[in-house]
Amino acid sequence: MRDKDTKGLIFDIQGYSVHDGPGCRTLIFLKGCPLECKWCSNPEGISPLPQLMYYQDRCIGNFDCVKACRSQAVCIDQEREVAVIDRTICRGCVDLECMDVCDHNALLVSGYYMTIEELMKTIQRDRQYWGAGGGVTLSGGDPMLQYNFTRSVLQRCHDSYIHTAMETSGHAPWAHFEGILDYLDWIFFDIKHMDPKMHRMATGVLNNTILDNAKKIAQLENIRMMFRMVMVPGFNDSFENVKATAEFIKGVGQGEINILPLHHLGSSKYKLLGLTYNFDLRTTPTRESMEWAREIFAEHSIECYIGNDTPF
Amino acid sequence: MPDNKMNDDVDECGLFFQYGERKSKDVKGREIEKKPSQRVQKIRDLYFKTSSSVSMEFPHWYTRRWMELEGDIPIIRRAEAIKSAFKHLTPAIFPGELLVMGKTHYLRGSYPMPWLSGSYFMSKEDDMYKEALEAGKLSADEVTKWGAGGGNVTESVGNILSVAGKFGLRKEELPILIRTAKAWKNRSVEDIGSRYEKMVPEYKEKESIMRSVICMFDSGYTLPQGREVINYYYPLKYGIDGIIDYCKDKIGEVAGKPDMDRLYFYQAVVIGIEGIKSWILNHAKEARRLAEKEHDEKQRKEYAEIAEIMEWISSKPPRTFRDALQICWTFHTAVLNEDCISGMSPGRLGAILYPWWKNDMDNGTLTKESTMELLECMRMKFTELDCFASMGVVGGVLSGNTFNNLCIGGLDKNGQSSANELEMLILESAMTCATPQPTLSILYDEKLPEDILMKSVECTKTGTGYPAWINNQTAMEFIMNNYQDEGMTLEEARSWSIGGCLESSAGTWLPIDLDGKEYWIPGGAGTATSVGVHFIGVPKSLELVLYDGMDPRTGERVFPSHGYKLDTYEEVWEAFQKYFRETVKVLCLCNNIQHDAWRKITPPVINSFLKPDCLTNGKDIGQMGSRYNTTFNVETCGGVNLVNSLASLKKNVYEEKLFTLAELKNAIDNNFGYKHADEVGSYSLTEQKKSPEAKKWARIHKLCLNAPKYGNDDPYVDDIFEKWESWFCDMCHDYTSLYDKPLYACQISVSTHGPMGAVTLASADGRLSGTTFADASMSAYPGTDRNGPYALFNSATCWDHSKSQNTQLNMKIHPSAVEGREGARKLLELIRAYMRRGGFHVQFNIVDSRMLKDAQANPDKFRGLMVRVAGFTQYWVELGKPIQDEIIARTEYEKTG
Repeated sequence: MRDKDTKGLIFDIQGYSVHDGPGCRTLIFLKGCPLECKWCSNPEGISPLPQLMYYQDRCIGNFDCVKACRSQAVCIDQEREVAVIDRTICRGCVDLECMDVCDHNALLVSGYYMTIEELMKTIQRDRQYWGAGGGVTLSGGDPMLQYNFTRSVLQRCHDSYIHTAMETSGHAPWAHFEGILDYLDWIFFDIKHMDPKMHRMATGVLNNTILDNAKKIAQLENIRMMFRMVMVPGFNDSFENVKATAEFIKGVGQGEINILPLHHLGSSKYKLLGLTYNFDLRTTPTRESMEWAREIFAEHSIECYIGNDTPF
Repeated sequence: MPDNKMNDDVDECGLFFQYGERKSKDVKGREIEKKPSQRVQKIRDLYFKTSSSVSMEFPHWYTRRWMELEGDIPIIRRAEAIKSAFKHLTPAIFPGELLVMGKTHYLRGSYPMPWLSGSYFMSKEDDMYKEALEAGKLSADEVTKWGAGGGNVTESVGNILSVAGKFGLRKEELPILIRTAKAWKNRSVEDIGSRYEKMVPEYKEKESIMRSVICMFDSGYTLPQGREVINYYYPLKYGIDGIIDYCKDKIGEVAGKPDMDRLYFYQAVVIGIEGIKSWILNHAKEARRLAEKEHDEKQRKEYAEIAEIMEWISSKPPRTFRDALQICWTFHTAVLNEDCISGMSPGRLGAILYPWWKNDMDNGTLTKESTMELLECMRMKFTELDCFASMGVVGGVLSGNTFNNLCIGGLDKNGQSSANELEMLILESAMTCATPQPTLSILYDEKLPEDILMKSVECTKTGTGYPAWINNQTAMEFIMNNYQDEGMTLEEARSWSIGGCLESSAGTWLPIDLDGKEYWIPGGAGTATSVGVHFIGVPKSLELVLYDGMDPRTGERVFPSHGYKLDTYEEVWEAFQKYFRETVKVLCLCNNIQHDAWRKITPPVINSFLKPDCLTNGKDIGQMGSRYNTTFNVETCGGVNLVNSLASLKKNVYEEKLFTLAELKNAIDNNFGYKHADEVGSYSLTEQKKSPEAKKWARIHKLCLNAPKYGNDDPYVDDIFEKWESWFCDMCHDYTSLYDKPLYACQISVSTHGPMGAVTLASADGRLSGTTFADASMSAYPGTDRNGPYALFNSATCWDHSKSQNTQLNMKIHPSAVEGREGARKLLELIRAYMRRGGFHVQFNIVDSRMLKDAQANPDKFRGLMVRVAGFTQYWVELGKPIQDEIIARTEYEKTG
């Protein structure tokens, strides 16, 4: 058995999560996503490997990391007295010597491996505090990218009578969905755009697999399906796209969507990862445009919940 | 319409035996069904084919040695008799067993103990039986009905004689039975005790009370020990030789010094334990013998392994989990062989055995699978136990159950959750090997982890009826309060456990050192409970009030006139209090004498050395050697029918004056125009049939049925309920036990609501003559709780449950209401809600009534079907018909909306 079956790469666990499924929940963020949305608010969740996060404001430029790096990817900017990491040279090595020698916590890693046993221990601990109606929500990234681990976690939770939810991009082989759906009570299914080309432009993949999977999951009786869409002004908030989305949801026999206004709270993390955030921080949907979208959904008899204003 | 059933009237009166709607026409089977390992499957199949059997070996050798030692010091004589009996028991080992030993060499064997009481198993023509009947000692037997199925031998067949209504005796052993029983005439605890009971000034009343079956039976002559938690600590910690060495040292210390009873006690322990030692070694020898002649390689190895283990534990403390489990079982059986006992509970066995289990798991000598096999074997051993007592006791009270209650959960010494992984496996084994014993209880505490709670829910959903859900905090409050004068502390209160059906019992913590780690294990530290005043049918007491001291069933005067005109409701309540007090007073005095005779004639030796602190202070249990002795109680049955009847009287007769008391009595005399339950052949309200003149009493009956009923969150009746509970719990303290400690309230019905209902005429709440009372003590009368479980919970918790040793709420839920994972979680929420309101106990039958009806008609198809009665799970086919009817009639909660 390889490690991937027994260990998962996690970048955060949040107890008392109150918006990602019914009741009070424990939210587990799994690293790795098949999509790469430009507005992603958890950019550290995209790569399927542990990643170095560099907090430049904490750096005092003392050369420790420069000496430690075996790839010579780090140098010091003499003028500003801070380290500079050349991410094209950095190999993302597992030793993370540079991080170990930094006494100022300027270098940290996102992502740590946990065994199923370790994770279940955390879940069983948190379980004491959910109260009635809570449970576990797997998020990310996309948990489907760590299929084996995700499957085991869901199965273990299911066997312990724990309510399970998962948020997914939907971009995974159907066989993988088949492998986990028996253990899942609730699914948040993300829709980015109905047009395949637009979809690929913004996320890197076409949407046909996603929509096919959505259709199949929508037919299942024992699973609550909640579509989710981040409203990105100028990208997917056109009348045509909202209408097409509503028709699709109606067409697969579902009747609920949770629309989330685009926010930029994750933008600072791009810099930590050595990436650039390409969105204008001023681009946020207005309250009116969200209400406008809701009305379109309503016309298609679809319950539309805006942001955190949900019935769960 | 002579054949009109009560059912037809029920709708008119608004009684619902069904809460929620009936969704499906198909009978719903059990959602979760698991199977034992192949090994245990075989043992269980064998058990199903086995009947309750009597072996006279133990009583024969006991009696012989006892008679030889005429004149010796009683406890020495007793120990010698026990030793001789143990030495002579024929060892028997059944193929496939991993744990060995039993009460007798039969798989399902037991025997009478004529040194306690000998009359009840004699033939009805025998003088001994006739005399006992006259004294009211066998009245409960006469009104009790046995289940005819399963392993009960209710009739003699061929070479097998039916004894005491349930047990099979080989014809050739009959002369020994008679000889042994006759040998104890005028010498038994019952015969000697009865002589002194007569010196109680109100003794005549006591006989009348027993003949009227206001009380079920004498506590001291029937089951003088039990309803307590055993303590396996000393054998586990020191081994048999360790205990012998300790006693020998002590003998040297106390010989010739004041308080000389200690000397005899220590000597008796040495003698008794030597008997157990030979008994164990005889099993080792038997295993060696079987190994030699066995051809199957695997089985031969197993016999050899058994022999090695038995040889080891015959002197030393355990090395492994299996050794430890065998030691527990050996001493458990040893105690049950010493005295007539029901409800000797292993207590928190998962916490007790955890040190050895953890050790074995850590060093890889044990796996979860092999643990499961051992635990399943243990379940079969406990299930094979039978308790030999009279029909009234075994049938009427216990329904054949032996109440070896094993508790899960609770708190540890430091107030943290005590649940562990071994307890998860104990729960699992109770599902894979679903048998009545040991029954499980979960000591629910807010600190318990969800996984053990959900596992318990899963087990509840199998329909076995266990685990019972017990409120840990409420019980601890009772324990703290009841034993405060004997020095109970909060830390010690946490070691409590259920002994027997639902009897909260005091315990203590003792240390085990294993591989450099220290564990504090819980165990019993109190004497027997549910001794003292045995089950009083409280609606019968109210009946006596209405009939001014006469029992209308027998026509016999029980008490002198109460002197009230009964012009007001308050007078009824006062007259009831007067008669009830008189009943408790008389029974308490007589029972104290019975127990005094018991402790003098048959002092407990084995249970004593096990129970802290007898061994350290050199006193047996009868001399208050146990750490906690405030254990005598007053048991009631039918409280809910009393309360409903009082509400009906108050409203119909005194407030709204819809009919007079005389009119009501006339209706009661005529059973509201219905035939008697015996004539109908059914004991539940719904199945009763009208007589041709029923119309005459229809109005009064309807008003009685429509009066406010407990279980609906109706303040009118809940106030009466609260008043009754508070008064009853407090008044018990006014009476004193043999050990000079106050009595307290115990509110479990076990099966007594059947026979006690049988002797009670129709009551003012509309219940008909001879029919069963409401089960338990917090359950509503079947069909009268119309507002759902939350209203029932509110009614049940309108008073403080920690004032009583226990309370009991049985609920019947249709499998569809708790179906699936979501259903399981919701069941936990329901339980939690009741616990948070301070409810002491709730347990469930998750079963479709139609399946039970099918089982009643076709017992052969349902040999393995188990149901929850009241504090215990029993095979359906071994239950008496009145109890079967009552369970079918219980309000069934189904999915709503």
